Amino acid sequence: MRKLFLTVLIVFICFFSLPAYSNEEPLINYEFGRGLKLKWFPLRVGGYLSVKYRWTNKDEFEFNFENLAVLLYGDISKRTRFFFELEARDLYLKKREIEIEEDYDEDEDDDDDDEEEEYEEYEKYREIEIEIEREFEIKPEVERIYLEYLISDALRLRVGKFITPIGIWNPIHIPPLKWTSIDPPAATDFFPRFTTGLKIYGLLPFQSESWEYSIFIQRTKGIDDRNNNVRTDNFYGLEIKKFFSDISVEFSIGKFKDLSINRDIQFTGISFDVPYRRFRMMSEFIYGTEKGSNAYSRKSYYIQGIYRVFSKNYLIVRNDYFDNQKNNRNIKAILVGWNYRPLYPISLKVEFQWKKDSLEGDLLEFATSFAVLF
Amino acid sequence: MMRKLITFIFFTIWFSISKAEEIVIIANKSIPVNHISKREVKLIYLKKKFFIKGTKVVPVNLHPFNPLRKKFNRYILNMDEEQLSLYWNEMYFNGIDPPIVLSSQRAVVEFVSKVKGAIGYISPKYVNNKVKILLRVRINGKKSSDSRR
Repeated sequence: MRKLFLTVLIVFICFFSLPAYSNEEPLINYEFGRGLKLKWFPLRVGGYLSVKYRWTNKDEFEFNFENLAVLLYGDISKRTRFFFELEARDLYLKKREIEIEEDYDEDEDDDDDDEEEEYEEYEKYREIEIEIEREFEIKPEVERIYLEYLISDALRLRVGKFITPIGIWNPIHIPPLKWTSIDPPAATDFFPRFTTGLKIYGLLPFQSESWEYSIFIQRTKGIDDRNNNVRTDNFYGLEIKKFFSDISVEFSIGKFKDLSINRDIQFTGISFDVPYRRFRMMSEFIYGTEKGSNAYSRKSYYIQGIYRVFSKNYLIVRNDYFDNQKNNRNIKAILVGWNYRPLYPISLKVEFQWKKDSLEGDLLEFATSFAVLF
Repeated sequence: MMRKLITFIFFTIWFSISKAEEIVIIANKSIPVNHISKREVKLIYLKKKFFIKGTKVVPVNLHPFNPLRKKFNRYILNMDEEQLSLYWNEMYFNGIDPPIVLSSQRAVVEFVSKVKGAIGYISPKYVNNKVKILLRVRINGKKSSDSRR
């Protein structure tokens, strides 16, 4: 499998490209950042990779060859599309980190399975130092696989495993597209990143089609769910997006069962995307609650400003907030970063984040990454 | 003094009218409408809208260095080439390719006249009777306006 991946990668890098501006489709067309297309084959092949380094003032560090992914997609017929993404994560990982173990019990022999006990107040914590060095290893996983049928602009159906269409960050969560290497908790901790099931979406046929909607349903176990942040077999959600010229506002709601804690969770979110000339402001606010007795709530938001200082160079400033009632954890963070895109498929990022965490204390984090679409 | 001011205003208006340019949105005759809005053109070129009254549309673009494409990006899509590149990065990740790129405005007219559902943009001088005009967008200085045929 490792040889296959390397062969595919070398083929991409070495392949010559024919001019894309002719009046007929060339026999072989490779465009950097847009993949390879053969005239006689309906699908396009492409992908991306990323490498990241992070360090904190607690002497934690991480060097990670994060992703290597291959995409295969295209129009099978006039109305039918296919999409497949195979991804290998953490191909090489070396890290040292300090983890906080919550609800640490010195007398572990007394442990029993009483569910109620899980939700008692947490009083004891301990710090554990973890060091990991993993050999270079490729374990491909199915990140996405779906078939799409376009009935009309107002009604499109997607079946398979797809990205959960909530908010701004999650739909573009891969390193070459993200603005920063460090993710905001509002976009990563509240709902499953992927959904396996059915998605119905489209443009609503009124007000100049300035409304978009997405409804999604999962009623099965997820396809290759090892890397999903939340494992669920039951997930429903809805998102409505309204465009006011170039400004968009999104409202979302959803409900799922978190299999790791065997609890139903609901969330509600709102996000804004405001582009104005060289400036872009984006923000997401999300509120989640656990259902049932001893229910807890969590809330989080981020506000991020992106300014194109000069061509291909972007300054990013972000404010994050996260509050978890369950363990009284409260995080406030400020991030300042720089994103350089020398060519449109390449992203080089450098950033500092100052974090005030009620559980882990104050933290200064530095992160840098390189990511490329090919 | 008043006469000078009137003369100045007259020449300013005349100059701006004489510099006005048009982008013409053309379509294959299979497209079952005679007019579309600027917003619809934008949605079609950003591959957010795929149909016009049930007919699948095929948008065609000029290459990135063509001056008309730069005007089209600016006045119709309200984006520059860098913003568009970032947008198409996201769409590529979601399995959607940008519109087909053709080498010249003549090639656009030829393609649009032959391919069912095709839609393109050209300068008025390239329009012929093999295609239908859906929209004329007048570019006048920094502002643009829709106008029906």
